[in-house]
Amino acid sequence: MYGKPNPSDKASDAPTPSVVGGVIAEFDSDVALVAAARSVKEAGYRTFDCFSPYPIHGIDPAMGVRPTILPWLVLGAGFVGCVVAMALQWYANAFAYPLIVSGKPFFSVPANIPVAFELIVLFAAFTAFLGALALNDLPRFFCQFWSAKKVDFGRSTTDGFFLTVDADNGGFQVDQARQTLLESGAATVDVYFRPPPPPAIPSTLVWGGVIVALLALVPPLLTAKMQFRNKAHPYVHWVLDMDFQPKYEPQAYSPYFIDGQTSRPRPEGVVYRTRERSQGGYAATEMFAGYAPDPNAAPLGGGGILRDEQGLPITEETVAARHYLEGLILAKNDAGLPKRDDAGRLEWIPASSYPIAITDEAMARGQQRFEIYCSACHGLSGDGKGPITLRALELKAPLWSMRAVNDTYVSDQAAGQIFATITHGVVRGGMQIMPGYASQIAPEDRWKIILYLRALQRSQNATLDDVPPERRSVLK
Amino acid sequence: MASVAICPDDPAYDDVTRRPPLVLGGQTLRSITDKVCSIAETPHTPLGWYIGFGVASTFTGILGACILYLFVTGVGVWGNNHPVYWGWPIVNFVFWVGIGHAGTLISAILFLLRQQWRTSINRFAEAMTIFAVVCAGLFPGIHIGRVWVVYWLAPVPNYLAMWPNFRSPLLWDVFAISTYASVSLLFWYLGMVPDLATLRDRAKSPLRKIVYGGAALGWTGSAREWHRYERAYLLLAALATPLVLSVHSVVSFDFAVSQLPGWHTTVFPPYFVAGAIFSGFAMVLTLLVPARAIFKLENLVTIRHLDNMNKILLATSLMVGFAYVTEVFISWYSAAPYEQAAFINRYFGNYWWATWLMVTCNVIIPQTMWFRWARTTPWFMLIVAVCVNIGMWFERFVIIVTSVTRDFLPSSWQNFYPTVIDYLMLAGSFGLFFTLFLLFVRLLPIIAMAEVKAVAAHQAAHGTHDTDAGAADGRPNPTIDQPHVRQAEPI
Amino acid sequence: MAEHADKSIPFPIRLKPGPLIPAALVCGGAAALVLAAVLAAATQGGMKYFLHSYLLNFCFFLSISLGAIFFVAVTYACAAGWCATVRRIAEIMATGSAAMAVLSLPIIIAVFAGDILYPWRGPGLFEAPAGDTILAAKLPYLNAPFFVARLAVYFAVWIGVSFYYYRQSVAQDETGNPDYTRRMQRISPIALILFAFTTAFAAFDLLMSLDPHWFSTMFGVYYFSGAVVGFLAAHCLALVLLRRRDDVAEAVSLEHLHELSKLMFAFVVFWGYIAFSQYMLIWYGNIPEETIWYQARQEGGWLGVSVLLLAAHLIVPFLGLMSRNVKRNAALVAAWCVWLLAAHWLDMYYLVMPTLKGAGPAPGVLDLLCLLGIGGVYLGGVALLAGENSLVAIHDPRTAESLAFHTH
Repeated sequence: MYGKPNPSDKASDAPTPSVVGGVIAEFDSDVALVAAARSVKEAGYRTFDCFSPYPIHGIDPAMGVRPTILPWLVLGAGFVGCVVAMALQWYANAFAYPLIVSGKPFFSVPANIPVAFELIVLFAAFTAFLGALALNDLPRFFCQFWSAKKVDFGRSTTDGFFLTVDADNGGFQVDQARQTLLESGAATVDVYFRPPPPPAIPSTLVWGGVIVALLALVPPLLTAKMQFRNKAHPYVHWVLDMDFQPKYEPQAYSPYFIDGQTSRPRPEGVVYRTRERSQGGYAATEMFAGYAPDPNAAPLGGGGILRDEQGLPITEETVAARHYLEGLILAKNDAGLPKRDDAGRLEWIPASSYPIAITDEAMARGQQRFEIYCSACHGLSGDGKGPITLRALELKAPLWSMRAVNDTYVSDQAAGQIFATITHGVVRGGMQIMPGYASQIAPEDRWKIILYLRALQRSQNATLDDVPPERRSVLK
Repeated sequence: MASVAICPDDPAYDDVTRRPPLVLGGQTLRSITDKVCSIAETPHTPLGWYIGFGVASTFTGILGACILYLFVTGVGVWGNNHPVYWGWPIVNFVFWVGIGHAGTLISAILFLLRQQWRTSINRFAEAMTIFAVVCAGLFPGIHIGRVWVVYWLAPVPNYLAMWPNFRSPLLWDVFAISTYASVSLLFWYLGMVPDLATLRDRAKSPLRKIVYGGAALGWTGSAREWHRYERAYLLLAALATPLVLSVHSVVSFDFAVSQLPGWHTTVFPPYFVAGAIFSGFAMVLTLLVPARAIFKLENLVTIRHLDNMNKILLATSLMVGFAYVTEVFISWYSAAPYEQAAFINRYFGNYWWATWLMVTCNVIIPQTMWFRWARTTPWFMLIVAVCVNIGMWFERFVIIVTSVTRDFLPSSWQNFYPTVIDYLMLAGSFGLFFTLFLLFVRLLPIIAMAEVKAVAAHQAAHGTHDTDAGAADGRPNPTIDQPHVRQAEPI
Repeated sequence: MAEHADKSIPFPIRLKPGPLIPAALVCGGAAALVLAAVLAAATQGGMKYFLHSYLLNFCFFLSISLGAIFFVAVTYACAAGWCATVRRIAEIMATGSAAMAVLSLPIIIAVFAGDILYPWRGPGLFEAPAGDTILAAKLPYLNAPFFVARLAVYFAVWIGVSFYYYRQSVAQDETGNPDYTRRMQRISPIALILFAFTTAFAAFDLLMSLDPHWFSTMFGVYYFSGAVVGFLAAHCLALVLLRRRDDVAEAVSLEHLHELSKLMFAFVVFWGYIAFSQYMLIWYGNIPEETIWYQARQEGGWLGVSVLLLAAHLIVPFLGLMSRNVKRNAALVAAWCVWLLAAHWLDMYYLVMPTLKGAGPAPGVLDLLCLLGIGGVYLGGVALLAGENSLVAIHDPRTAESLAFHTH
């Protein structure tokens, strides 16, 4: 590399390189440089260049510098940026993982424009910068003009003006070029030399570099492969992020218990909490929890102890509890006794009666609860035209259909069946098409809703006679 | 003759028949180079620099400690709490990003408008942009909670098979700020390459030669290089101009896309951009006025430069004031009770003091810039600039906090209380900014020498347009000599 | 190289239209308007359509004068030298605001007559429409007398500012005293402040209140951005046409056209930015009170107009005006100016006409007559005001700089 000739270096006096690169001239001012450039161009030289500490106005036409293609590159890059941005946003939010964000379309053009604009600018700007560097052949780590001793080329970036004529020009003669430059007004003219060719990179180094580069690709590719496995846990935990939690998991060993199990059996006397304490709440839980109820309780059936599948006696409390909590009662045969099938199993069927007091307050409560929980989908009159259903149908959401509850399909069902529907929802074809409301509506309220529902159903086929006289005037 | 029309008291200061000289004191190309390079080249760093650097890096250290504390403990160390979940971090972010915009305005927009006076200040301003964007980008980066999964913000495939939400303005911010940082960096660096080459060629020590030489990429100043450089500079300026508009508009979208009264208002994008330029110019002045005095740059950054900057300051102050008036008027005009309540709360509610501080600092105090004396007196403009910085910080604070502390649901109403970490991080961010800035001042060319030289040469060549009311002797104004070349001495 | 000292304009460049042409334009325009009114009165709902069409054309030509005021004030504020030779045309166009003041009479009459134009007009002068609580709350602002008073103030400001600049500039033609320029520069920031507030509020009054329940803080800026585009297009077109005269062609070069085209390009992008911001924020917030304005412009056949506006006002001119070669070709510049004027008219159409509920976009004879009518009176007024004055400022201190100007 040619740097500034070191004054103390005696060896620089020896003329080691012998290939002449061209002629370099120094000028007094930018005006002189422009004039000289014009005359050099007119003299027929093609490969020549001018150097100045700032861009000189008017030097491009004087030198015959053609406009650069950089603007076209930048324009093209801008288009590419726009396409990339739109494609990225479409792919990410509309195709690969469609994301519903406040009801906006998956591919929302207004929302996609800011990012598209930014990427247009980003791509264009990088192209402008890198393009300018590339077209200028930068970075460059050698400069042959330093080899001219009579001119201080370093001044080209401070206050010097230089013109170089390269030996590559057809018919180049050092003396002729020197003469042309002096006639154009050069203050000083000198010759510069080509740098010696750089030594070739040893092949071992090249192959070594290739091998290292290939090896370096292995870890990221391996990681990428691991990250896309179908297994639940990736091999490599780059970020721990709650992956290994200091908690005890079921089936794991626990040092705190003699039996070593983390999962503990239920202790004696544990009672589940339910919301309802009345009407056999405790008895029902005891039964379902698998505890033996009071063996001295009066059995049903008028003789003999009525037992269920588990061998536990079924008492009035249990039947009442099951009626209240599940809407099921024991099927009775013609004699009024609980029916048993061939295998001796009891049959529980949906109840038609209500385990609650049927009062005006109950009806009013049922109406209130219906309007809170049910009318959103099923409509205020139970005709199925609730706002959620209507909107879902508008959006063509899958698995939605309008379900009226005031029609015969529902009114033909026993109250207990409706109770089961409210509690567990509706599953059809393996999909839950109506959620269960057990966690939101207490059993007492569920019965009251059914009470009100019956009133709604009756209202669909009512005649004027069904309306009490004092209320008929409202209809007008 | 050279001092004609530079002194504001001189009646010829207002002379509309001639273009004022922008480079004063009979500068030659060499003197310009020496003046600017001497700051970076001097082997004896001034004591003041060490003191400033010491203070600034102390604050940077405080910032670093706070960030560490934040990562280890969590976002609860801040005052962010119900209902102001987005507190000082976002205020600081918008504040710093806004400041950055002035640099791009000076570099890019004034370049496109052919305002030659920008050449003395654009390097300074672009550097300020970079450092402001660094400070700005810090806050969103650290406020996300689980910083170790920040890469989820990038649209790269991950094992969750999830992608970022492109409908969120917060993600637009990620793209906008990254683009802005990159493009500003490119613009700054491209502009600096010729000046780095100057430093390379003047460098004495091998270390400096290697470092400046590497950074200068082998630039020689050939006419062809200059041609492509100028095209690239023009293209970058043309790209940076809409970019700067878009970046702060995207930042404003963070708020304006919501439905909150006081946030959801359509004028936010240009209002924020005007405010950003406003605060940025104030910060440039805050940095430039002392630097000019300390480094004796009065001939390159003349009083007229400061005068022009203060005029822009005044103009943007009026734009911000116009936006305030429009917002208040439309909130009344809307007859929407929530809109009206939001603005009554803003001006007369719990944070009335912040709002009126904002109005005073942003609209009232800059009105002093109508007066020539104010525009051309450095110590006074420094005070005004600092006030504007304070006012603009409070503007973001007012917008964010007043709207959120009194939103639709009265049960959510609660005041906002910043914590010590909030204060320390704000101060620390200034420390980071000044640390980077002092490093820039010490190591890099702080004025765009090549551009100033071009202006000086143009000034020498074209005179100052003495026409009908021209100079008595008809000579062009010799405010710059043609460079004299010594005969090359034998080495 | 004090080359600039040599360049100057020796003689004033006078258009000398004579008394006939302006009078013909004004009378022809007025006749077209009268014809339109008669046609409108003959049809059902025609008067309402006519008034809306009148308003849209009124706002179109007004925006050209407003853009001119902005251009003149801003170039003086920046002490710009390149535009010295083209600024006189802009000053003349700015004074066209006086013609617009006269043309505002039908609007004033309509406002006093009833709610035929503005729905916020209630049964009485100080009454809001029945049952509308929102408009009742807006009554202190949206009432006919205050509306007209404000309009008077706006015109007073615009006429005052534009005539001040015109008179000072014309006076400077005589003596070349730089004090005129100094005064015009000093007054320009104040002119800009007045301009900003009056334009924004005029947009609120004339255009935004057509849908009185709707509001947008950006609306003033939106109208402003369109106005600058419209003005620059009209200005460039006028310059290209005037350059057929040799004396104008010597004063106004391709460099000036290039520079003005660059500004046109920039403001086309600016308009797009403002329009997009307003749209996107309202779309994103999805608040029915705000989206209803855009919904009216997306249903009933208006979606096509919206898309056409986006394409014609932003996308196509953006791509077309990008090239340096286009900007330096006078014929192409003139073509783009006509395009942008049409696009700006479409913008006004898009702002005003959808308030006629129920009707889709159906531009017809009435629109054409209103365009020609208002345009005729406007151009006649401008020509009258141009009078015997020079079309190019000959003794502006910066004339030499402007004549020697070349852009990047």
